[in-house]
Order: sequence, then structure tokens, then C-alpha cells
Amino acid sequence: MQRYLTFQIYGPMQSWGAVAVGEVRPSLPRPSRSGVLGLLAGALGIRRDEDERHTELDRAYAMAVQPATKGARMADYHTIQCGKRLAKRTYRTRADEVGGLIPKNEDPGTLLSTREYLVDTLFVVTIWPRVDDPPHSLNDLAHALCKPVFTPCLGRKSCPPALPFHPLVQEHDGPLEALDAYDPDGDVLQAMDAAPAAEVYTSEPLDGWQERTEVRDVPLSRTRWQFGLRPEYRIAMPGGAQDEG
Amino acid sequence: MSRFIQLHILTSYPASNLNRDDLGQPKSVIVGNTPRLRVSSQSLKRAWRTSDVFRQAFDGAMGTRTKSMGECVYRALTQGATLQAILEDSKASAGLPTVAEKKAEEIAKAVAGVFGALRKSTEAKKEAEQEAAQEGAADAEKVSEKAKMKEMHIEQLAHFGPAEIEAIAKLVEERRADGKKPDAEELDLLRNSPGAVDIAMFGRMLAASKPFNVEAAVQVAHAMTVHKVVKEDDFFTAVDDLNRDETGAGHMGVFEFGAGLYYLYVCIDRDLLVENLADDEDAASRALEALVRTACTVSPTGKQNSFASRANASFCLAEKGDAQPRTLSSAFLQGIDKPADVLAKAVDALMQVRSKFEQVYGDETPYVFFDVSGAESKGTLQQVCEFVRG
Repeated sequence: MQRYLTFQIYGPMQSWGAVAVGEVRPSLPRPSRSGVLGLLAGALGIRRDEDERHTELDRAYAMAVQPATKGARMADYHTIQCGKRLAKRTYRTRADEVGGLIPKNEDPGTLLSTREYLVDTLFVVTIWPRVDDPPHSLNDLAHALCKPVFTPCLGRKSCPPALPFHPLVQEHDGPLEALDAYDPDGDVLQAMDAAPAAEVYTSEPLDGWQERTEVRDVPLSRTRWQFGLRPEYRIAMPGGAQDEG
Repeated sequence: MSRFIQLHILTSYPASNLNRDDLGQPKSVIVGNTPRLRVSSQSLKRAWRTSDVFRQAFDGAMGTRTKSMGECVYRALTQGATLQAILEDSKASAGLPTVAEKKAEEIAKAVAGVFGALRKSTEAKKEAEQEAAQEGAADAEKVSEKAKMKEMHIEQLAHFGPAEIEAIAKLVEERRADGKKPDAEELDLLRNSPGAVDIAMFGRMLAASKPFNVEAAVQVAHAMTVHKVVKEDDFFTAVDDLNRDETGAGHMGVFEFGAGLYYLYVCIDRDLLVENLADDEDAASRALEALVRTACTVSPTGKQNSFASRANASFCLAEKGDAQPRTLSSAFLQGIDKPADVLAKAVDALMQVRSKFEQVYGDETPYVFFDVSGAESKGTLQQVCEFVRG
């Protein structure tokens, strides 16, 4: 028996950044480990530039995530006006950058991108320590989720959670049991296309995994926004509807 | 002290296309398996940050919109009058010491350039010639005088808040004494408050200079309708007034639009806002009030000339507390489906989800709201502002 911290993640829109080098800023089909660690870090009050504390979180905790609804993807066409960077020009407000300080005949500097979001998706996440000396107890993490220091968001700042995380710390035989024992908000599930628990994705190889892939979501530097690769294991739940994440 | 301030705002937009996708259609989103209209947070923030309402609410008073602040600075310095006197009467003269024309022009341009792009000298000259010709006074001296003044103008109207005018007036008096051109730091000071508040709230991300990055203290979600909306097509024709031979339209087209009641969620991290404003509590309070006023009264600008769909919020609930912030959007997962009383039903649904969260998850947060849904309105925007400031 081990202790697990299990909680729900739901918002009308979520976006868990995948590798994005060009115009398209895709989302992974489920919360990334770096995203969830970032959520916990923000809740604990760890700032972006505290690389060591982020690395420590990454070292200390394992994670498994289970999609509780089918959900869908949405592409958001996005334009940004971004004035020329000139040494003699200082933009002191956004209004300067989109109007006042840009001469009439100058290119307004519009950047295009397509941002991807997950909609109608509810996830259950469980966290457990994978080292003997984790920096925070699971109870401390649970407390931080209930009374966070920084505003929580689901991958992007514009994606607030729409349910309390409702973290529970309990003993279970394993992460699958922890996920199974958690009851996400019934009202929300009822309104969406709730799929029976189909599959679980974990950062550790657990009994019964069928597929090993790699995800680039190990936080290396949150200021330089660099992430490393890690393995991810998929486990199909018995009796669950099989579905592409 | 409460860390988080959450705003839940319902605004009803008539036929409109506030925020378009790559096909020119209103943006949409699926919520609870049904299509809704959506306005992105970026679109909302742009409308707020560039609005005069935001700056006026922050300044606490009406300001002045002008292109010619540079000319006023020049006149104040060369005519020996205070800036205030010049703003009231451009020919004012009060016998104060004067600054040489050349120097005054440099100072004026430096000040004006902080608020907008300066006019090009060729354009200024052309316009001066045209104006002089119209007035029938085309002598060379007058034209060049006019052109000189116009070169101190900026291309677009800029909004000058009372605090900024005061700061410019102070700078004018300092320069009257020494005639020096203001340095970068002094020019920064002119824009300090509105600039700092804008960045403190919505953050800044500069890949080029990381040390100047500021973490946004305000989180804005995408606004979405509380009910199912299917986009509608407007087929339109335009008549060619000079075409008398052929029947039919001169132009045909289709554009899409939609109407609906939108739910908007905003969460402010008050502690971070204060920190971003260098611990200026008073500035943070004023910023919060400005944000509430702006979010409740400023609409995105998309297609406003075609639809005139500007609208004020019908309902705004503000909550204050330390518990985990969350939007109440799940109130609308099922969608409010009866066209009648959509607003009243949306308000009910919102308040129900709020109290359900309180019961089930135990996150108690004090709140106030204003609501125009019933026969009699409840609460006021002012009350919400006071609650948020407090």
C-alpha cells in the first residue's frame, strides 16, 4: 500500500503544450507531466526562474492520468499585432504597440498562429513520490491545490479550471486503483460525452502496460522554456471503451 | 487578505461578429457537446487595454484627446506661459521666462514622441500649405510656421490623463529653467502610471529581454455563450448608384454573425498585482476598479461599424478569497435553452453552481453582484468596484 494524491482537472478549454516550433501550437491529448508539475509548482508558489525547485519536483513525483470523457479538439486562429522593435522606440503600454507609436505607413507587424485546445475534457490525475525524500508531502501538495499561491491554469493562462481540484490523499494498492477510486464531479460528467475509463497514461512502467511512447515534457528550464524527453506508458483498462486519446 | 478576486460577467450581444476566425466567421467552441459562440481572451484584452475607459477609470477623471500636445509644450516654453494656460488658450502669455525656439522644439518633439509617432515633416508641410491656401493666406512665412507646429504633432489622437498632463506641465517648468532636452528616464516617468498598470495586469513577454518580463496578474478566460448558437448567414447586396442600364446588384456577399449571452470569467491575483506595481497598494486598488469598469463596459471592436453591437454587462459577480479560483462555466454545460428569460436563468444557474461548489468542496468566498435581469435591478457597478478595491 502506498499513498496517492488524486485530483480532477476540468475546464471548458485546456491546452497542454506539445512541441511547437512553427505557426501551429498544438496541445497534447491529455495533461502533460510538465504541465501538472507546473500547476503544482504554481500552487506551491514556486516561480518560473527557480529551476532547481522545478527539477526537484520532476525528480520526486510520478504521475498517471486518466481521461474521463471523450472530449474534442479545437483550433483557434490567432493574430497578434506586435510593433517593430526599434532602439529609439519604447512601448510603454499595449495601446502604444497597436496604435499610437506605430506610424501610419509602417507595417503593423501581424503574427499568425493556430492554437489548439481540448474542449469538453475532464481528467483524473494521480501523483505519488518516486523517491524516498520528496520535497513536499502529498498532504502539502493537496493543501496547495486548495489554497494555491499563484492563479492555476490548465496549460495556458486563458484556461482556468472550472471545478475545484478536490484533491484526496489516500492509500491504494497502485495508481490504477487510486484513479479508479476517485469520483469526478457527476454534474460535469453527465453533461458531457463521458467515456467509461478506457486507458491510463503513466510516467512509470506499471504492470500491464501495452505501449511505450516518448513525450517531450520533462521540465529543463522554465525560463528558457526547454523540455526533455521521457517515456510514457499506456495501459488499457479492462472493460473500457478503447479510444485514441 | 484575499489573494484572488474573481469576476463572473454576463453580457448580452445582439447580432455581431466580435472576434473572427480565418474564414471571417465568429469564433466558436464546443461546450457540453453543443456549439457556442466565443470571444477569445486576447481579443477582449486588446479591446480593454487600448480603450480610453481603462485609462479614464484609472486616472479617476476625464482626460484630453489631442494630437497637438507637442505644440502646446512648445508654446508654453516660447510664449512664457504654463502648460495649463496654453491648454486653455493657445495664445496665452504670462511673462514667464522663455526658451529659445530651437530648444523648445526639441523638447516638444521629445515629449510628443512618447505618446505617438511624430508627423513626417513632408506631410506636415503639405498639410500646412493646403490649410494656408484654404484660408487664403499663402505667404511663405505663415506656411512654414504652420508646418513647424504640425511637425510637433503626432499622427493619431492620443489620450492624455490628468496625471500625465500634470507630469508634462512639471517637466515644462523644469526645462524652462535649464532648456535641456529631457532624458529617457524623464520621458518614462511621463507614462509611468498607465504604462505600469497595463503591464502589471496583463504581463509582458519579451523573448529578447527576459529580465523585463512580467508575469501577468490577471487571468482572462475566453468568453462563451451560455446557450447553443448556430452561426447565421447574412446575404447582402450593394447597389451601384451609377449603374442605370442593368438590373441587379452591384455587389453580392455573405457574412456570418451570431447573437448571444456571453459568460466571461476573470481572475486577478491581487498580491501579484501589488508586487508588479512595486508595492503601490493604492495603484493596485485603482487598477482593480479600472479593470472591473472596463470589463463591464468595453466590447471587442470587431465589426462594430457593421453591427454597432456594443453592450454593457447585465450581471457581474465578484468574489474575493484565498480558495482555489475556478470559473463557474459548468453552470452552462447543459446550455440555457429557452429563449425567454435567458439572462435570469443564466444568473440562477451561475449562483446555483456557486453555492453547490461551496457545499460540496467547501470553498467559501464572500461576494457581491449587480444584476439587471429582474423587473428591478439589484446592486450597482459602483458597489462591485468598491468591494473589489477594498
